[in-house]
Amino acid sequence: MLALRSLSGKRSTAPVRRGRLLRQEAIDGFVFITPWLLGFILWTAWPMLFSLGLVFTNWSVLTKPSFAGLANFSRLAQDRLFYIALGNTAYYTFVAVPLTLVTNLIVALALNLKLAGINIFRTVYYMPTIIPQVANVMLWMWIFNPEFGLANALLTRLGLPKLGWFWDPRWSKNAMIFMTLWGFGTGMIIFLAALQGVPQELYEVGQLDGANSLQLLWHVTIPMITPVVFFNLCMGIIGSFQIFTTAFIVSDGKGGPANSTLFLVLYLYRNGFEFFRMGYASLIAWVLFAIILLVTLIQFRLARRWVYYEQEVI
Amino acid sequence: MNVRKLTRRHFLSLSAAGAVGASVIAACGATPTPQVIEKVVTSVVEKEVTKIVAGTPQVVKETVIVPATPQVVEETVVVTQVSRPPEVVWTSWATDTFGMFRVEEQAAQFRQKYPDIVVQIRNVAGSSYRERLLTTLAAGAGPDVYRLCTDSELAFYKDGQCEQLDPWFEKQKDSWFWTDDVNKTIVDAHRIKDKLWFYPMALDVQAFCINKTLFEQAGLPLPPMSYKSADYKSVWTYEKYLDTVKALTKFAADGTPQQFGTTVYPDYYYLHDIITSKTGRFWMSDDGSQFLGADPAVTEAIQWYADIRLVHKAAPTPEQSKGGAFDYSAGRLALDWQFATWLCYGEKNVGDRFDWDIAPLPHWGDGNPGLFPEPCVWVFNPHSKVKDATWTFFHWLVGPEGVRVPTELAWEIPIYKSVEPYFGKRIPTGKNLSLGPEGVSIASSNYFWLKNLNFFEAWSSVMEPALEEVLLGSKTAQEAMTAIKPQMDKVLQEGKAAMA
Amino acid sequence: MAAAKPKAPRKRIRELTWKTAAYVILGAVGVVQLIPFFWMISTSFKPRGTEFLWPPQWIPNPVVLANYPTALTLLPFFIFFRNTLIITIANMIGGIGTSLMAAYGFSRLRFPYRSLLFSVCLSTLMLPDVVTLVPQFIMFKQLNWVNTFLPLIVPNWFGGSAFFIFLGRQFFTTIPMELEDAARMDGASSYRIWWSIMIPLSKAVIASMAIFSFQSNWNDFTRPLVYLYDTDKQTMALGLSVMKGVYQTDWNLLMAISTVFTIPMIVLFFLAQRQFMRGIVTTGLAGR
Repeated sequence: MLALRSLSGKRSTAPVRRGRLLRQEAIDGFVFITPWLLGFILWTAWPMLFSLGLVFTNWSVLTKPSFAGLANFSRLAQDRLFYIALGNTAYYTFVAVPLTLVTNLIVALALNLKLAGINIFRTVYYMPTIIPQVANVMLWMWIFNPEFGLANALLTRLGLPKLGWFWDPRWSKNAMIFMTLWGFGTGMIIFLAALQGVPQELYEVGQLDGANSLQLLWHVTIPMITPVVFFNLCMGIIGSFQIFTTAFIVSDGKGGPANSTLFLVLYLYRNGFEFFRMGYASLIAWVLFAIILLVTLIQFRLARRWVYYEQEVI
Repeated sequence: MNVRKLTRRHFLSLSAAGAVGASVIAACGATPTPQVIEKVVTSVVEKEVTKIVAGTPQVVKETVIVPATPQVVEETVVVTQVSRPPEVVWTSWATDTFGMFRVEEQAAQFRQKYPDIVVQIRNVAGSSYRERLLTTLAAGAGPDVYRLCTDSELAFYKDGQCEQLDPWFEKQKDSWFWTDDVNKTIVDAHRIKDKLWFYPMALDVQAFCINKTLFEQAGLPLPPMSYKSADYKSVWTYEKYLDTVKALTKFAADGTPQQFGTTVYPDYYYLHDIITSKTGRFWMSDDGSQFLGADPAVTEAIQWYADIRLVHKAAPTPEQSKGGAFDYSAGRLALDWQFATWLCYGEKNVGDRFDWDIAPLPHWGDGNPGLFPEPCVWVFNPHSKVKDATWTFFHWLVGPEGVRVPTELAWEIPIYKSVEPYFGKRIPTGKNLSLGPEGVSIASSNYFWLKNLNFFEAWSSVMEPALEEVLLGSKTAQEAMTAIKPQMDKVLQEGKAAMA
Repeated sequence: MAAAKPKAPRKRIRELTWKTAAYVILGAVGVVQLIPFFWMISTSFKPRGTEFLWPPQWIPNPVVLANYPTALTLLPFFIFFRNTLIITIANMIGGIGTSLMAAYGFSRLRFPYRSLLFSVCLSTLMLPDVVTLVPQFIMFKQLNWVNTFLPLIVPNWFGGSAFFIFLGRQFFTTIPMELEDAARMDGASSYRIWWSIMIPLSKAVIASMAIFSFQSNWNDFTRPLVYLYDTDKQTMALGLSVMKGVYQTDWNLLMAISTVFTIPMIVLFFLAQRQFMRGIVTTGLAGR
């Protein structure tokens, strides 16, 4: 068996494992995921199933849940606010995620340059992320102050009209997207880590072939980090669909002005904790779950076309 | 790990640990401390008595109670339990420094009077209050006494989270509850089907915050400072209000606003005055079942309110006011729709940057001002594990002694005559202290939030966003109200049906 | 390593221009990134009521140094700090360790139902926490774990977060198979490979996870809010929320605490990102 392998010469073919070794691998696999599996069964599965069951009940949280059949579903079908929330959430996700991905990548590439003192720059660019959320939002409300804020001052200087930002229903989501974009934080760091893993020889070979920096970027760097681009894309979508805290602080928990920042999780939070309809809130949560799951599965399907894995995975 | 290495060393260390642990547990366990107590003893004694039974004298043992010769006996009793004082958990959303000092002072005062009850303050910031309260109540770990406001009192009552208070008051015939001291109107207005399920607190009423300095600078006369003053009815009308605020709004040469006369908020506390004063009713029927917002009279009032900003430009836009630049405390606002108890925040927020005070709301022509009181409530948790101690605290807290501190701070308008003289004793002198109690005395007693279970949802989810659009000018009041009428009717009817 | 070739003068000038341009742009954007931090520090020294004046005062006048001791003694912040540190470090070790285990299992080892289990793992991220908050609380209340650190730490030690598992999986797939094959040929077990090959090669990822884990645990608010009652058990995030009242917020004190609060994170980040400098070598040959 060993002789066969050394003769094969192919780079990324999985070695042939038979019988005992395969079984060992399977056992090992389960052992490695056991902590997670155990944790899932103990702490996660039951609350999730409980909330799934709540979908068919009326529950004010303060009393026992009472069976309500499909009442929540019919309420959902006629709920104008649900569709508004869905629209807001979809808009936010499909605008913010691609933009964030691109900006984070560009920033990570910039911070990967071999410049002296680059680590100071990296720390500086990470700083906005570690500021407590409440302070961050307050600051942005100040920056976006329509009369005296920096944002409108800039616009006026460029001869453009002032905007209402957070307090104009047409601009509130964009203001939030802008705020999100500005926090390079998490995505940038993940890209930075990924860039560290691109093998040096590939660059050397490329340079020998006469490629310039841009070509190296397109043909070497980016393909090698596609698994991580995929990660940021998936997590970005999963996270953006569930946006809550920022909207909560900005709109004082109301989703205003005029329901423009009413996102799905904010809407279900209100239903669960303010209008005493936890069963209905659970339904909205599971509908959201289904949407995110669907979109993610599509992403995984499409990934086969553009994500480069060294080794065959799912 | 090598099994061989499980040597004596391991065994020794394990047993040492075990020994230490065991002794710790033993120490925690009660070592009985002998206590000397005095007892009054009456004896029940078995005596031999000669009785005639069935003809023959027989010696029979009989139990005879020896007449009580009270004896004081010293007895050594071994107390096997260290009893802990009952702990009452008290929750509200007073978490900023001002609020915390206030509740701590109240708890300290209570402790002085009742040293063997410990009050534990567990406050949560406003935005997370409901979340934590509901979660802990759901698991049976909720606080013993907690605060609720008009948005949820009914719902909590309906879900059995409120202890019925009348039986407890009945047991305490010497309570202040049975005297004339209490403002019975306000307390009884909180009865649901004649029973008292929670007790009013933090009583407040609407008022303007007025920036007297700006009036002086503009050379304008101050509005009448009391509802009872002779010229209130004739002078302080909405038309006069509009003229005043227009005169107090100033723009710079390039159009940047420098100060505004008033604000315009889409809040029902302020709309109530404008609508009720003009039309005699509210956007909800008195019994809470119908939406009246689409009536032309009501929409006219709403539009008039919106036009203060849209047409007359005498109020900042939402972006201008929310951004903080035109907050009342910043000193660029002449008349801000607020509450009478804003007096308690004045010193801290404004200090002496300008002359701050409160002023009455205006009225329409012949109409009366449409004030309503907005008290919150204290709830006694029926699932409390220390009910007696909780009642002692609750009774003290809601009574004249408990409200003394908030009253002196002008944080609460008292419902007890005996406490009224202390209102505002700790805030700077020269402020309009009588306005609050005056407002309460002329306020409506139709507590509309207690009429419909879905009142808050109807307001917050449907009406408020629609009003925001009206105030932004994207819809007229008539359009907006007509558009939401079907939904409002539905939500209100659902809420009314749930009350039955 | 090949010796650096002497560069022609024109190339050197071009290189210098690029470098200067890079510094200028990075610097400009960097300054803007620092504005929130400046504002935070500046506000922390302001007297009450002057935090939001216009035009903005960048240098507070007067400078109130007392805000810091006032804020720090208002609540037992050193106890909060200790508690937050305990929870954060426990979660970092447990969460990253068990996540890396699961990541390896999902990426390199074949076992039945692997895809299904991984989908389940990922799907735990897709249900908003809001609806599982109450059932989880009830569950922990039954276990009598309320008012202890246990609900905050134990779940992390059982496969921490799907975020890290997914991240780890993606990274492990970029490590070439030859290394593993060579080790297997030498008779190494999966555990040995995980410990001696995968982990050392993932320093950058582990550093990232450390940063994220620290950050999210340091700032975690909801779970301490619901599970920790006694004052001596609370965390810094809870302490911060105390400053924020309904009508009143002590912004200057809030900012003072926030500033103190962020210093450990900055320190950690600075230390951790050294991992990003020491170019990760995947083939055991020349590094950066």
